[in-house]
Amino acid sequence: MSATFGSIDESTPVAPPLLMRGSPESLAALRRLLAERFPPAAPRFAAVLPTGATAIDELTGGGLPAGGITEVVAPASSSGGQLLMLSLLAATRARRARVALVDGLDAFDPQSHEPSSLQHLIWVRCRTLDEALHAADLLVRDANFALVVVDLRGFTLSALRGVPATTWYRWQRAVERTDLALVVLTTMAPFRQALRQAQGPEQSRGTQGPERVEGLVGSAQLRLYLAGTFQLAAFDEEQARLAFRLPVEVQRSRLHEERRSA
Amino acid sequence: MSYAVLHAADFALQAVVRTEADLDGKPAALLEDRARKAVIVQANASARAAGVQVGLIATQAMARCADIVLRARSAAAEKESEAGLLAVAWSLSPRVERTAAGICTIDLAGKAADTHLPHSREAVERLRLLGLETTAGVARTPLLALYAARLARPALEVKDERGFLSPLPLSLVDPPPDLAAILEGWGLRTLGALTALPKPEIGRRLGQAGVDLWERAAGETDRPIDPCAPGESFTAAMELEHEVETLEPLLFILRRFVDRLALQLANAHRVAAELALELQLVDETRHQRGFRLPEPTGDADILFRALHTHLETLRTAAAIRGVGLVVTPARPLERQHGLFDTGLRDPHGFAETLARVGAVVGADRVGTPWLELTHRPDAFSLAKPADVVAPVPAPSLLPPLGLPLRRFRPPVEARVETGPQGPAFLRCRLVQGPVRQRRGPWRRSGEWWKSGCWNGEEWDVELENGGLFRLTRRARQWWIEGMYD
Repeated sequence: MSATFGSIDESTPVAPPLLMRGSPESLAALRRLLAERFPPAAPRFAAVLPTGATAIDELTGGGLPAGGITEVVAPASSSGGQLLMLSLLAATRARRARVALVDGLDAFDPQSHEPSSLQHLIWVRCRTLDEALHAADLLVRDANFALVVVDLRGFTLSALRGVPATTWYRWQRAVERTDLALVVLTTMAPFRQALRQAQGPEQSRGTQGPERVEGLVGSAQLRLYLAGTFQLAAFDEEQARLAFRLPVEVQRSRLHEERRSA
Repeated sequence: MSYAVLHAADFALQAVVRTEADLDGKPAALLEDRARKAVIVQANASARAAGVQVGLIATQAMARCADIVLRARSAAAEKESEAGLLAVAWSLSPRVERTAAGICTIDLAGKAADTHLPHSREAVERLRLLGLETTAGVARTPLLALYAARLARPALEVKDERGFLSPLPLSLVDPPPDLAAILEGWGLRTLGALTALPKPEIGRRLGQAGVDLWERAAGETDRPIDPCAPGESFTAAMELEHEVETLEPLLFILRRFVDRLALQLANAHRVAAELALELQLVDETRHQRGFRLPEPTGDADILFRALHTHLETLRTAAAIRGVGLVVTPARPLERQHGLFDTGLRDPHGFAETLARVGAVVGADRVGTPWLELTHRPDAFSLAKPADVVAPVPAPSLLPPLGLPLRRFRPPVEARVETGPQGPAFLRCRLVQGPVRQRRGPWRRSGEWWKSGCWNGEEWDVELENGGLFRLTRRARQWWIEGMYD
């Protein structure tokens, strides 16, 4: 027994399949189609949070996405992660917006900052990765913050890779309908370097400079890569100028795609 | 004139049952030591359906209903339930009489007649949310309203008094036993049958008691009510029959407290500014904790969340045998936000988030950093966040130079080989390598008059393989204070 649910006239033009061998055009068409049919599924990053670091603001079209996650990978020592944080604190302080810093290894140094530039900051001094993740989970759900910075630098690579991917997606879901910018800083630099040095000069030869590090936060809309390291001469320069020429690359940006589709 | 009566049947039993979360819907009965053996004085509908009757002893009740829950009377629970009943009554009218246990009479004078029944239904629903099953009656006199409340499911308004009273049994008007026997002998079983007889003839044969009974049966008895005034204190307390060792039963009781107190606050046009929680422990100690709310509120959910957040992480040395809650009332905050104010969007949510984060990392490890007035390295304190972020002051004339430090807490012990210009090779558990450039030494000391004096010399070094670090030498030992980043 058969049932006919409809008939197809062979003369009717049939739309070509959207996913033809995964070509970029097909993917873009699929994204457009999804955005049209399921508007809530496609986040819009109309608002951005200026970082105060001109290099980053120019690359990202104005700043970090509000309602999205930005991962900042700092693969080497003295690559400017703390300087970026200083710029973010100054930029948000100027707007009188509240900021939470989840300090994974309790490494933030208030004495490196102007006292007046910290009045809007909530500093959470964690000791373990679990504490940091738990605290961040709570803070990203609070409506009072414009920026939450989760500093996970210094934890071992294995510990960071052990964080369930659902954590990053949960955070993304928590922030995507808000105007909160969530920044996650990751790196493996000190331990990788220590390991390399422990292997001795022969084995470590040819590994000078930071190795290319992939990001860890799968749900990040924007991934910035701090590509250089500062030298001692940086102590003679103003912080604003250092931030201006912060060596940074964009490793991933879903921001522009979303803005284009919007 | 119209009156409403709120009536909670089996009030003493309901008062006990509403303080225990797991008794809802179960057969339950109340025991009281009246004679040599404790007998059942009240039983709920589930227990009555299983055959449990007033007057049975405990073993008889358990033989008829194996899973019956038997409880003793609790004066504290009854007081708390009565406070809830009165709070709901005062939300209808300021003139409320505490008529009897589980019964209060409300003077509805001044309220539009068409609102009497809807408002009474709302009151019954509010009481249900507070854990009390009640009925409401509305009528011209307090007595008629009480009769209506006893028969209501759940609310009833009496408009046709004679039609309402006529079919009702004589027992409703509580005849004295001797009169009841006489009337039974006359074949009178309903109020209508009694009031069909002439009142003077009843008086001639049964005396004043008969006349009173006739008037009650005809709905002619009227009386002024004796209103009571709402208290000025907002407190709740209860001794627990069973010691509490887990969070859920405690939260259940506190929720009852908070709901009732929030209603009382609303009646008094006040909000809560502070909460004081006291837990009495079986080891005769007490746990006391005050909560200053970030913004005064009368919202029961917010008040409860403040308590919940604290209790989630609380560990007491012994089980809890009593709980008390005191609310400090305040006038509602009337504040006009400035156009450029950047206050908190959700002050209660903010306080709750910080409390939860504090429970994770430690309350002393969350806050806004404040620099101490000293040159001592790493000298700061954490303060409560400001309610409003102040405008940015004018920038410093001398712009800050260099990179901020990323501290290692505690400092990392290091081995440093020195040359004629200072540190030449650095080795520690995190980094090692030859030093390419260095600056220093900067000698620092201070507070030599105190036991915690500090001194040492600092170097800023750049390693051949990258990285800027701050080295410190104290008492011939090298440390890495942090990394410039």
